Amino acid sequence: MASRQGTAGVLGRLRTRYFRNIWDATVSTVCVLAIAYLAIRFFEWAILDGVWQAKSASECASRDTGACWAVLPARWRLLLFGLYPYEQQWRPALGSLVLLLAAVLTCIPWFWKLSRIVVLWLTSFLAFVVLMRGGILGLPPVSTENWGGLALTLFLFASLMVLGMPLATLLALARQWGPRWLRIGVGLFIDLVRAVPLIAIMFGASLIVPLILPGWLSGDKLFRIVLGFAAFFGAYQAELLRGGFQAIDKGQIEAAKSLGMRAWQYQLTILIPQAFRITMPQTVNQAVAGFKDTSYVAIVGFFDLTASASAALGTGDWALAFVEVYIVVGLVYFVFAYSLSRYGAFLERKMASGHRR
Amino acid sequence: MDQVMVSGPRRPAQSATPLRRSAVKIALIAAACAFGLYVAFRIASYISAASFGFLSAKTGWDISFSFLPYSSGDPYWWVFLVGLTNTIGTGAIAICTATLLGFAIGVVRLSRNHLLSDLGRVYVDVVRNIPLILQAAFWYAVVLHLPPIRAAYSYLDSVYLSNRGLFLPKFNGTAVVLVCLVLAAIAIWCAVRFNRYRRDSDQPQTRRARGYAAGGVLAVAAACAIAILQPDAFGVELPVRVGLNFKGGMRLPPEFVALLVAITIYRGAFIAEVFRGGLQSVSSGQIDAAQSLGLRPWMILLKIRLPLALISIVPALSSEFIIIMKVTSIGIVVGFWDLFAVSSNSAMMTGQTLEVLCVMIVLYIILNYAIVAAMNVLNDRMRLPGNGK
Repeated sequence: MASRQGTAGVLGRLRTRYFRNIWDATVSTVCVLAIAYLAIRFFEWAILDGVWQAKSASECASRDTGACWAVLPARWRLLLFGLYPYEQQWRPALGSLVLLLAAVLTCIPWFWKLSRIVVLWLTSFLAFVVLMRGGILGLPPVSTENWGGLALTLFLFASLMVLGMPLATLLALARQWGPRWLRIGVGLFIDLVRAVPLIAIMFGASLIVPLILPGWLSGDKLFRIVLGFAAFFGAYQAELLRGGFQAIDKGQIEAAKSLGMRAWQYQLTILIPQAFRITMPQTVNQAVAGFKDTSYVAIVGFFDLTASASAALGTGDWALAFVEVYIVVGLVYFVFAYSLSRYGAFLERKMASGHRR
Repeated sequence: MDQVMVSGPRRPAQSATPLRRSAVKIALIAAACAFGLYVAFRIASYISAASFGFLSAKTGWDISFSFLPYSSGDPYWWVFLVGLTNTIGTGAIAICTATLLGFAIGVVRLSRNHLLSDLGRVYVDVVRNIPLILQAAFWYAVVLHLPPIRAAYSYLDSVYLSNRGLFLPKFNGTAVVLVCLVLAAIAIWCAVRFNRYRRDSDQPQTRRARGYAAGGVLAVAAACAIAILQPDAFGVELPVRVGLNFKGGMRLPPEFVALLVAITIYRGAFIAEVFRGGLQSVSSGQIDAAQSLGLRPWMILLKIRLPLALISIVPALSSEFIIIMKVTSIGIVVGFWDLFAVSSNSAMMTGQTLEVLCVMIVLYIILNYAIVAAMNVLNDRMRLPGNGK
């Protein structure tokens, strides 16, 4: 497709991309003007007229017409740590850093081995729980009802990975290679879980588990909700992994058997790593969805980042500053979810180039 | 591709004592059976004590918005139906709006103007990476901070937007108008089938063509008869400001508006990706051929690309539709009474948690499989023109 003017150079590219014909030129011009107008207005609102120090949203409004960022210095502890006791808030801070470090380390290929990744996540998860719960090492105990804010959101995501991923693997193995009765049972379970909304599953888990299990097994409410959440995540992830298992050549199993490996050996060392490798892009998407879905615990009465955002506005002092709070909290979610999904896209590209070779 | 680590002991299988292996296996199975029996026993004891008698008891509580008429004196089985219709109604409307928005964004993302496609990408990336619950809470706060009724935004003095919700004009006889709309749809469908049948077959005056013609004429006649018999039903009733409220017209409460806007914007971004992927999968040869025939870009999109893409779009779209139906359950965040909110409140009021949960789960499963069945029918329809002929 050779264009008349040629496509070389910055001007040529500009022309083919934005001003190909009169219609394109009009649309581009209108868009540029609209974006510029909105950007200027936002800059005025957020920076030029923004108020950084005030005692309430009404005081902000009396000072200037812009954004009331004063809500952040007043409420940032609530957003990050929820109702965790004030003097003890270094614990969720440290615990969150540990979890973030584990998440960053997971992205390094050296850790992409079953034993390493299991050790990494189990230790960091346990460290987080010990820090948050307290009761040992001289830390005063803090009930899970007081966990909150970004720390709770990160905890939920970590427990989703620690509990949901193994569960998904087991479900997928059972549905693919289990005996007939197990295949049917697991299939029914997965279909049931996928037919019902997440919030109904959390609700059910928090109410039904104590009815069915004895007291010492049913744990506290947060634990039960995490179990329900992990079951939900596991059902979706299991279907992805099953697709991965189906894509593996059956000859590999024959080869492993002829080498004298037992079922658990070749499942652990041959099938599971390959299934994760094949489904990596979808798995990352599922993890992003799981991260966003942590906000569902706000509905069943926990104080995660979303609930903290609403609580930060609830007292009346700051109710008018709702746009500012939601922008900041949305930005926090966005940074986590977007970097995760970008990483997934990077993996996808990397794997595609590996196959092409 | 030999990166898979084959480690671990490579003893031949025979060397492990079969007795020990089977002992471990039997112990595990026995433990699992014992646990399963215990759970089954607990469930059975609850079910034997369960009574669904509460379904006919009066609820005694009110809900703020419903598609079906409801009052606090109605029984529980009715409130479940009201919740279900709220879920289905909201879900159906959200499916339409989200699909329209998603189609528009999907087309914009494929625009050859890079500015437009980049804007579409920014929209999708931003919206998809923020939780829906946060977005719903945000839109609810936005609606609640709209001006009060005396200063409501108005459009042509017939649509008003205020912190009490959205006020729209409505027909005097909504049911009558709906019947007429259905009749009109039947008439159009008959006309399309009649036309296609006449065009495709060599003998136009066959029984089936005549049947479609008769059906279309009958539908039009019925619609005209209704219009003549009930002319008042077609009168439009505008919302009129009376003091501190509106009279007449139709009111959509803030909860409904916020939920609908949030789901439309959020799921619309996902549907945009479905449309983009489907439209991109159409081979460029088809488009080149259409261009060389001199078709306009819009005609190429609607007549060539979209029908070909739909074959791969419909399955993905159907799972989106199921997600939208289920996702209305976050309505409880903004105080909208869908099936989940109704069930949750019923469980709290009656204390019969297990029974309420059973009813809710059964209703959700029925809803889920109804959509699956409907979309499967559509999917089969979609595939026919490609494979046949």
